Order: sequence, then structure tokens, then C-alpha cells
Amino acid sequence: MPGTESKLKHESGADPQAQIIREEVANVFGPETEVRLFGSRLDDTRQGGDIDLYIEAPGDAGELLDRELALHARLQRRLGEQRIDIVVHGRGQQLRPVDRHAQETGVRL
Amino acid sequence: MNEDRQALLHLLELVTKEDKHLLAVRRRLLDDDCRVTEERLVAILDTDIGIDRLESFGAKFGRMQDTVIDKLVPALLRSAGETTSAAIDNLNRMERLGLVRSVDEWLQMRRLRNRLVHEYLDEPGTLAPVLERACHFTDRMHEDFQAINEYATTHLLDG
Repeated sequence: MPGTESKLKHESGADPQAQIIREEVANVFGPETEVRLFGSRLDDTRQGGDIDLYIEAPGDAGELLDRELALHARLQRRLGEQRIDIVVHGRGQQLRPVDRHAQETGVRL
Repeated sequence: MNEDRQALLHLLELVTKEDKHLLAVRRRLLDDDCRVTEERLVAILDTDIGIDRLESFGAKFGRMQDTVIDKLVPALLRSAGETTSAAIDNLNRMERLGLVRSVDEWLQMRRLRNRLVHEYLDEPGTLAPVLERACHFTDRMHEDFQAINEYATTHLLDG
């Protein structure tokens, strides 16, 4: 899908890291869940940087935390030792500044 | 005693203390009852001593993880004659040796620690489940350390 491709990693057009993220988000949050990449990885002039992910999902704070922890562990195992941050916004909850920032600037993976 | 074993012994003593202090601050903070509702957290945050204990718990929860993952585990593997690698690989080896129950849990603890330290105190609804899980994971960390300590004492430091 042109225009929605991520710039997660510059080494390959197939973007294996984005594929891994999509798979694990689907495993943990369900196949319909959208995930956005935002923050420093979107900056073409910078190599590397943290992987900042934004996910919106239904559920209470406890459920969302358990899923976030599970996703983080799975990604850490598959992507190795790099900084991964996950922002989960509970659907219907008030938007925090970080949610707004991710929604406005993030790119769908 | 060679250098590796001395380092291991020192780290076992250090983590024994960290473990004891973590359990003690958890008792002061939550009275060992891990059920943390938003109301309960608001009551904790309502007093200076509650805030201090919460911060102390978060710091000790993180410190013990750091010492175990970054220092004790590599020292134990070296003493056992194994090569050491990235933290996740080391943890995987520990899991295979039966010395940590689950690598995933340790990775989750690491994440939780960041949430515990950086979570805003003005969002008790979000912080409550973080604290509740950290309280439970404290038991897991304690149990895994007991297993590590016993293995090291019996197999690596004996004689």
C-alpha cells in the first residue's frame, strides 16, 4: 500500500520488523487492531532510534496493561535488544497529549 | 576461590539484601495484599509517606531486576563455564537451566518497571493495575532468585 508503508527500518523494502510488529499486535490485541509507528523512527535523517508504537483497543486499564506487557515481551524477543515503547489508548477514554500526537503524526503499519 | 566465583558470591549477597528490602517496602506499602483498586491507590497517594513508599518500591523493584539481569545472571553463567551474551539470550539459558521460570515474565517485569517509574501520579486509574502487577511480580522475582541462589550455592560455590 503506497503511502502507508512504514519507514521502520531502512534495510529492506519488505520491512521484516514491521511485519513482526503487525503479527504480534494481531496475536495479542486481535487481528483487526491498528498499530501506528510514531516518533524518532519516522525521521528519515536519523538512523535507529526508539520504536514508538501506538495502539487503540477496547478494555479496562488492567486488561490493556496485560496485553501491553505481553506484546512488549514478544517484540523484545523477536526484535532483540532495542528500545520499544508502546502507547495503548483505551477506546472511548479521554485522549492524552501523547495519544493526540501519535494519531496526528503516526504512520499505520 | 577464583575471581568469577568471588564475583558471584558478592552478587548473591547483594541481591539477598535487595530482595529483603524490596519485600519489606512492599509490606509497608501494601501490607502484602496485592489487590490495588483505584480507591486504594488514591488513599496511598493522599499521604506523603504513601508517596515515599510507592517511589521506594518502584526504585527497589527496578534495582533488583537490574542487578539480577545485568550482573547476577552473567556472573552465574560465567561461573558455570558458559559464555554470556545479550540479556535476552542469557535469560533464555537460565530458563533452560530451570533457574528462571519464564523469560517472558522477566521481560514483562522490565516493562512494568518503566511504567511504574514513569507513570503519572495524577492518573491513579492507570497506575493501579501497574502497581498490582508489580506487587505480584515481586513474588516471582523472589522465587526465581531463591532458585538461583540455591543452585549457585550447591553447584557453583560448594567446595
